[in-house]
Amino acid sequence: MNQHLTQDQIAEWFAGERRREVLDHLRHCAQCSDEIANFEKTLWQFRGSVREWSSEQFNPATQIQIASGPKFSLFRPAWWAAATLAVALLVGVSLNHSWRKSEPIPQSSTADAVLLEQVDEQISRTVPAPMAPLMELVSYDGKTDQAETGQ
Amino acid sequence: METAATQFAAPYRENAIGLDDIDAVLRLYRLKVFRFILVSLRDREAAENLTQDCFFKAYQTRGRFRKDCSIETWLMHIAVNLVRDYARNRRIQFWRRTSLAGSPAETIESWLPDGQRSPEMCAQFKQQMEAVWAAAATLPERQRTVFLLRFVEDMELLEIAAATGMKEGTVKVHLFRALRTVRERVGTPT
Repeated sequence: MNQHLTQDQIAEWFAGERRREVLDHLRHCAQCSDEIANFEKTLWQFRGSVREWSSEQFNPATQIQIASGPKFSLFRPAWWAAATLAVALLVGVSLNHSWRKSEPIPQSSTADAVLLEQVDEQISRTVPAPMAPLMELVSYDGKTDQAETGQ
Repeated sequence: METAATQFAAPYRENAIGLDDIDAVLRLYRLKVFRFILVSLRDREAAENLTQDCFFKAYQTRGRFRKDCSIETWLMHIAVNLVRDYARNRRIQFWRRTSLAGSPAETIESWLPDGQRSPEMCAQFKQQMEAVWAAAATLPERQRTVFLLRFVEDMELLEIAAATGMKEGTVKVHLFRALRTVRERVGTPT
């Protein structure tokens, strides 16, 4: 193998595959050998620093409850979101309910009275002067008709 | 030359304990599960909650554990699923801020061998670590999972396949792609 290792061959190496031609190449090519050794070192350092850092983040004092299920954590945003939504719904429903209660509901008898008043007003309005004689002939209770007929 | 095979080879793990002995399981694997979740999500609070969920789920479903893999792989399988579900749900939680203190690069001085603790060496290592850390963050979910299981948790490809539910060939493809991306981002250190 005269050329240097390809990206795929190097990736295979780090994935754990050891091909004979790659091993042979590494014995003779200082450049590829150095490249692999350097990246290997970088990965090793990455592993070390991640492990060290996560150990610092780890709190062994945190209780793990297995028998009674996952612990309820007040710091879970989902709980807060659900609680806020529930409270908002309750407040909304109660406000809506009380608002509807306080709103005056028109009574049907009152509405009827108003309507009758309007009708009366229409009927009893003054007619134009030329129509006045006609109005005298018209009686809603029939008294005028009876008087005219002499009954 | 020390090879990747010797550096990253996972030791043989025997199922000496059962899932019924949950205290022993917790003692052995709690930090590992927490670490994987923490590095995957970069959220300490979420990592603590999902670690709790992982062991609870493992205990509740212990009857389904067929022992065709180690307890460690079984736990990591649950952890991988929890991380995936959580990450998907978090996509819509745009308001959420992650709780994380620092990055792994800041710990470099505390664990480097004495001979490599000069300020120049530390600065160089720190820069590389930050580059790998940033590159890992940009990887697609599956590639990142495979990369972390391989190079942080020292798992073999077959173990990763069992933990992720992927075929070994698929794991290999994701690992290749992840390595290419990370190498490109990090560059070749001198």
